[in-house]
Amino acid sequence: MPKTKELPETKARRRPTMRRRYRVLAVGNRWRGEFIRQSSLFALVVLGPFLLLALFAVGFRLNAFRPSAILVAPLGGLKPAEVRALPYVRSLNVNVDIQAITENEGWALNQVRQGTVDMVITLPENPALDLTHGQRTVLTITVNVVNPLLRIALYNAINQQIAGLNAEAVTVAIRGVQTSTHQLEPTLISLNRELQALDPHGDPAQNRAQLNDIITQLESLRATTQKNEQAQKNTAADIYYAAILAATDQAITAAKTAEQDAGTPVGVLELTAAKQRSGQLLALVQDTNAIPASTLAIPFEASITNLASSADDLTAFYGPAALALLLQHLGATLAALSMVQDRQLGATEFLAVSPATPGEMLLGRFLQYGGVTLGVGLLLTLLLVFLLGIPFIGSAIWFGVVLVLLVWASVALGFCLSLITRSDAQAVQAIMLLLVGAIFFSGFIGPLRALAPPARQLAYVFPLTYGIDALDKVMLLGAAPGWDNLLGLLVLALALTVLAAWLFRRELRSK
Amino acid sequence: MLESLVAGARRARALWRRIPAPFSAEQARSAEGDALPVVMEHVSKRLGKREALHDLSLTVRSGELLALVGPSGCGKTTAVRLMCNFYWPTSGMVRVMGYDYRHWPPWLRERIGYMPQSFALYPRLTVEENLRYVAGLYGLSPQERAGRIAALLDLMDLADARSALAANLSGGMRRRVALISALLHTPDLIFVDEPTAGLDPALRVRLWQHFKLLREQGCSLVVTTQYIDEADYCDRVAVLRAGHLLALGTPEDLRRQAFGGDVLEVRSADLSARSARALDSLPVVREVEQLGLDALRVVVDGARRAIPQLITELAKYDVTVESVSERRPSFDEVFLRLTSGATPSPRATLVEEPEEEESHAEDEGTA
Repeated sequence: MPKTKELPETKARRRPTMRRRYRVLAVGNRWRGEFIRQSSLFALVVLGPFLLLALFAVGFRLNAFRPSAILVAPLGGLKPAEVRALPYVRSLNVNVDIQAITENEGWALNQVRQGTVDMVITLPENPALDLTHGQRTVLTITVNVVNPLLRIALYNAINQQIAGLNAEAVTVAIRGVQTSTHQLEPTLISLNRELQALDPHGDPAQNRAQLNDIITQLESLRATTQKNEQAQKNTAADIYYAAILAATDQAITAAKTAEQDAGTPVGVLELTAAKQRSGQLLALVQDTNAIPASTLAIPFEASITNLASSADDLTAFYGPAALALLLQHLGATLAALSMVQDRQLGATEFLAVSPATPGEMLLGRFLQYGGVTLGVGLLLTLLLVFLLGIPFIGSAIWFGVVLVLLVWASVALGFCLSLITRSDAQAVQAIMLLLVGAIFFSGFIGPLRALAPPARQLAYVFPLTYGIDALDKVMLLGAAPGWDNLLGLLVLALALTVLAAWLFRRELRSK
Repeated sequence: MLESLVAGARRARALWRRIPAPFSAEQARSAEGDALPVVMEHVSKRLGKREALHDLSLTVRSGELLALVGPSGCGKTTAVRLMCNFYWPTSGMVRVMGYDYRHWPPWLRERIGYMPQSFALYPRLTVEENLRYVAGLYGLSPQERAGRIAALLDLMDLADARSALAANLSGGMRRRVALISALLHTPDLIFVDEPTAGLDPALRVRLWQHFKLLREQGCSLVVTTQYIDEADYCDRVAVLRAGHLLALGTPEDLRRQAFGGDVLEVRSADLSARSARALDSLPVVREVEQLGLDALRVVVDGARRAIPQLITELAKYDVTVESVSERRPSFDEVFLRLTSGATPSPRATLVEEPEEEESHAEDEGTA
């Protein structure tokens, strides 16, 4: 009987679970093979998000920027440059960039309404008078901001500024007192030695002469202290000077008592001296107590007013920003995927041979996708305003202009993305990166000025950057969208359209 | 079967006459005078690092149906793309309707119909919507579109599929819709790349009937196919292999070129090796091949002149001829004969042109 050699049974056949595992692995391995061979896709998936996050982490510093301000102050015949040189104005200019000093509060408030500056700082008529009356000097600060993070950053800057003013005032006071006490210390040591050396049972005439000399020196010391106090004119220092003067007075009183005690009945004279010392001390304490301790420690405070009516409503703030983000994403995605679809279907070759020029085809797509995106934008706006109660206090015409420019730039950006990527996977990934990048760098999360320069430049690539700011101004602040935003969107839209046309022409007419 | 095909052709011809032309082809035709629709002179094309086409010279005559035949990767699609101005030659000259490839006037594209090999319809659009889109690209007004689309759908037996989604069409229906797309604007010159690939034989026959019909209407057509036997439908055939033009002529010319003359089949029960050798020595005989004990295939210079000589010569050897018939070898045989004798450059022979991938290769090359 012939021997038949049977094929060996595979392990997988004996073990069905292994076969299942191989099937699962086969699917995964196929995908991995495709993925690894698309180096640019790999770069987009891994490096793209990482680089964006790294740039954001390095570049975003919420408190790194100096808010701009206009100082409204009573000039009192001084020129603005002279006012700028005043110590407390110099102190103000540390954390805040004082761009102008004026007495015209109305003009200054209009500037802050238009977004030209971040804040208006209004000084009281007579700050010194407030302190004399035991009240803090109140700086009235007016801002016009809806971005919550920007608001936090501005308030932080203001608080830092006030704290800086206060700390400086106290520091100056203590430094002055320390200078004064340093001058007094050697004299006081010398006088103390002389007093200790006096023998109560010694010659009364000699003691009286020495005490007279001490009293003279003490009175001279008191006069110097008073002179220093008047020279410094610092409320916070007054308390220290008062204490020194009181101590000086006590010493003088004691010395005079002792002088008078020498050789006379003690009781009456000492009582007289105690009354005198007590009265002087009381007067000093009362003077000191007249100024609240909190005022001495914190002589300045800020009163902040935010002109933006929707400042405390997060939904209101994120409404226009989300609208702009959705429009950019929708426009770019529609445009990008349409090109990818043509490429995948093989329609590109047919289109290239057809009489339709790249410009005509691009214009047709612009009108179509732009129209759809605009329609969605209008519908979303209606929902935001009437369902979510997002304020819309600006001009509908300006709103329309911003929307058209934003959609135009977004659709053009989508065309460019699809034309520089080579596959649908790459295009989808590029759109995702665009979305992430726009959220991070457009001012959606944090104010644009919180971005350090390398990251800041990236922000201007996204239509969203201009769109958010413009829609905020129109919808929430009731202002014009800002020529910088309109110009930015227009330039971006034109540049991206030209680039898309060139890329599309190159793709269709590649020879 | 044959009757139904003939009836179908007649019906198609009648329908074709009813199709309104969107613009005056006569008027346009006079613009370039008697210029040949396509002239290619010593054209070579490199795609990336490989040479897809080498020194190709051919012309397409007015009202001619020219087939480019050859195996996959031989350069057919590249040649068509060069004619359509989708590619520019690396060297050589391509003229279409008298205009060289660098200076195509805008209207020239309106005179050309092109059905790419990988033409795909938009799957979520209906047949009619797809066709309307294409008609729009060719500048047809909505009224013109409606008439042309309806008529061409009738012509291609697709009237019932007018509202069907493209995604739900069979492969054959898609091809026909694609062909309609190339015909909507009544082109004078039509390029059709692999229209019959993957289709069943009956549908292939019908498509070729449509092409012949178009030719009868005065169109010039260039059709590529890898089904060698389809060359018989054409006026002339260009045989390509590995980017080289092996032969160009009418199907009969190519048969003669492949076999060296007319092919006769001689049948007799008395045939022998001696008699076969005797025939081989005749001046009119090019080749004698034994097909069996009772049959010879004889290639001769002229069938009519040679047949009496063959019968006379065989009679000398006591061979009674039962029949002598002229045989038309299949084009597969012709192609095999032509290609077996060809010696393309070693480099070109090694390169297998992936037709489907050409556009991607080009994309990568230009990226």
